[in-house]
Amino acid sequence: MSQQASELFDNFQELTPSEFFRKNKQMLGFTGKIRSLTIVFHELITNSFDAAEEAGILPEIKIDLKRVDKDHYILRHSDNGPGIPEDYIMKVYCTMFAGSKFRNIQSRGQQGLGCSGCVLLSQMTTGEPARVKSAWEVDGELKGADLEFKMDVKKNKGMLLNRKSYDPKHTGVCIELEFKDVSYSLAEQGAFEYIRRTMIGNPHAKIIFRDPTSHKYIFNRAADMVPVLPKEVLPHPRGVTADDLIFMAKHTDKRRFRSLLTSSLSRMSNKRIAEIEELTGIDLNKRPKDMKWEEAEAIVDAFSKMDFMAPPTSGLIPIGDDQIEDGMKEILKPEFIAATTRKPVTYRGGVAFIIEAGIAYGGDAGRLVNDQRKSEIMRFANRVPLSFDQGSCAITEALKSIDWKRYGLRDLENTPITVFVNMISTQVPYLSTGKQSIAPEPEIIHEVRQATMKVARKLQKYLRAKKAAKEEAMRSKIFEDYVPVIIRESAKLAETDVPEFQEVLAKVTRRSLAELLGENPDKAEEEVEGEFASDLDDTIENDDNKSEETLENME
Amino acid sequence: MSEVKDNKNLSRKEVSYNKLKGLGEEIIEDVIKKDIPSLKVPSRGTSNIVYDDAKRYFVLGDRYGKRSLGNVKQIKKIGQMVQVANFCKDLVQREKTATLREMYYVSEGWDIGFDNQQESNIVGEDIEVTLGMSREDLGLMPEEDGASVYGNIILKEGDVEIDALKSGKSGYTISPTIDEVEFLDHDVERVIAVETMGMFHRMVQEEAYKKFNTLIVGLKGQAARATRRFLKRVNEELNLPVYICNDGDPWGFHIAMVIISGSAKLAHVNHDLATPNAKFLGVTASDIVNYELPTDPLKDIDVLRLKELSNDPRYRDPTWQTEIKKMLKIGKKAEQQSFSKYGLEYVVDTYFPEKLELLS
Repeated sequence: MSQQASELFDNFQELTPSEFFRKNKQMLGFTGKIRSLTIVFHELITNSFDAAEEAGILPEIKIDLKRVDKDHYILRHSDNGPGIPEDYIMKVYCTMFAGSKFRNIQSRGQQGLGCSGCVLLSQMTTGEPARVKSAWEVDGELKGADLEFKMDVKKNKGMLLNRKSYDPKHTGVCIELEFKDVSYSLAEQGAFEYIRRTMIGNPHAKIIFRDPTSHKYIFNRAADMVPVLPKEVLPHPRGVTADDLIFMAKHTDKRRFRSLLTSSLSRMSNKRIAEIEELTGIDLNKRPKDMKWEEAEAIVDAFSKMDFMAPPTSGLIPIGDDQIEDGMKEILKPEFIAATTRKPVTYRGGVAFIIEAGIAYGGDAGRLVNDQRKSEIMRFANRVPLSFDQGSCAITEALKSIDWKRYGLRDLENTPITVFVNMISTQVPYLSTGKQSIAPEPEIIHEVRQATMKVARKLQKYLRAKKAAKEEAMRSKIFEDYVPVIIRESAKLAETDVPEFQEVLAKVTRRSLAELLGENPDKAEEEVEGEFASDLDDTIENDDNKSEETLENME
Repeated sequence: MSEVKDNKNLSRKEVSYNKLKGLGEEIIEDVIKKDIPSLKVPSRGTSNIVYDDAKRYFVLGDRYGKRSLGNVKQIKKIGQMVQVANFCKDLVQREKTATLREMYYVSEGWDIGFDNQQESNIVGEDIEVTLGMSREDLGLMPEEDGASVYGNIILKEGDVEIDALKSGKSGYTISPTIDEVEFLDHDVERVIAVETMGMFHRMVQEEAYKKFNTLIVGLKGQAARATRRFLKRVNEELNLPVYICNDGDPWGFHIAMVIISGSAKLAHVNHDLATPNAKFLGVTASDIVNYELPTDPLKDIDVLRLKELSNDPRYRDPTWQTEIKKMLKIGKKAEQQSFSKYGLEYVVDTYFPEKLELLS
């Protein structure tokens, strides 16, 4: 019953990316009803943000989520970005692995799957087409297109169903998609929380969200500056593999190995080239296309033995302390806030990254659980909230390893604080395809700890000062309550009239304030009393008393 | 019957009243001068309790703490002190007394209250120490019963005259307000105090008061403050020598010693309580040996206590040192009642006469 090879290969098929992801939608993050909808929000929001920022526009997004039935929703998402020219609309939304994000650059998304993934999910769960209205500018003139299309999975491209033109008022894209098997939830991993966190990481954005109950949430921007666009940087030698080198050699227009290396990699000088030649014995004047695998391997091996300057960090644009604080203030309305941005460093010897951390205390900070506020962690990678898989994430691990008691937070769990941590890097080492947790590299954990501990110290200082102020108020009250009573009782004891005592009361209250501020008004007096007080407490019951007791027991 | 010295009750009342009033005046004066009022409260920590060799009892040293109205920790205490002082002044004025427990309940209505009775007791002591008075002078009475007195003495409590010889076989019970009691008349030469009421009744039955022309005082264990005050007063006002007969063990020794040299805890009022001239009659370790008394072995805690006593300045006297060493050496203790080995009358017929002769 054996089959011939030719028969076996009768069923051989070529799988398009669309087909692949249709069968493996979990690889796009679409697992579970709540998570699926959160991922859709994530993809659409990040795309809008990226597009607006690249065009130098402050992002403003309107999201409208309607519930049709249980687990059945219609989502309309519109932005104020530069829009998509008509010819590209279906490419963006229907062709997987098409896009502009395959460079060594800090970006929110990376694979170019996001939007088309959303269209795929919609189509797979409802069979309904996608509708996109786009408005863009050509030579100062606004153009608009209103398309209805489906995705042809076999061909990995769009299939136009209907086209209308319309007169737009401003640039931007509006997409309408219908989903089943998804669920809107207010849980920590839900779509609403995703938007809330996004606003903290992106204080320059504005989002208006109408939820399925028609409640309209307006998240206003806390900052009026479009973030500086990250620059693309050349890969650092420590970050490349032999395969990367071969790939570069194949696609270069350089005529020599040495110029390939110096033009494709950062921190590569002539001195370093000489060093490589010395270490590997390879003649770097050869033509790139002659590079053999073994040579590439030898060069990568040499890289690991050489000293390089840290990679350039011009490609990393952190949110910045002020903006983090503004974002947290807007969303959490806390009574205290502190944020810090660390200097760039590298992990695995060659990938630069920056850690930012912030702490908000009081107000709406923390998670609300049965009317009680508990602490919460907000993890971000390149400004994108990480909602899932917090267990093995570098950020969670680093925060767990901090001794919070040292910062006066005895019961962290039940403290109304939000801890914010953002990792900025051209290559965030995600643990899985879902991109929801960061690999616990020792350097990353170290940086997260340092950043968080710095802001925790500030919080500690604030809490101390608050406690002192409270104590001061309490002290003043004690004096105001007691002084009149004591003087009245003393007058009764002395059988005289109650004298005027406002001045003494004022003196006493001032003195207490000075005492609190550490300006001890009469230290000597305090010391005698201190000793007295401890005598009172410790030794008032002395030997005689003991013997008396024993005697009583004997009787 | 000899004439009793004039009593000092009236002046004591006046002194108390004026001292309490003075406490208020001190604060009011500061207020008028626009100074932050403060009070000096003598420290009664162990390091400020010293044995006065000349006086032969414990006194307070000269260290004190200053309580200022401007200190948040101290202001409440000052408030409590002033209120207690007012309460006491009222008691003194109306010639009433109250127990500490009663004061604690009265304080419920005060503007600055107490958290517990322990706290009010301590403030009571603070005032005693600050004014150098005993709580009896302040009208605050201990709750414990005083001891019994049997013998030929006539006292006056208010309008009532009491003959301690005609007050039943249990004698006259020493009042907690013993300072207000006048000694009208007596016909005795001495006072013998005994630790237990068993021995007290034995002495009454054997008519020891006649035989030795003595007052008999039953201490009921550790002597109450009123009992100690009574013994001091009869010693000083009536010039009667005081003898103490207790069990032959460290606890018995110490009951006698607290009567003689005062307690550390009450160092601030020992001048009213200690009777340095009182003498320990027995039972000593030597008695145990000489009279071949029935004994019990010393327990660990007895040995420990004896060692403590040997280091106590009150026991510096060579006789005491010898007796403590002897007891440790024989490892035995004996009760007063152990003389019954030789018959119920033996203690009065033989032991007391022999010991009294030895001590006089």
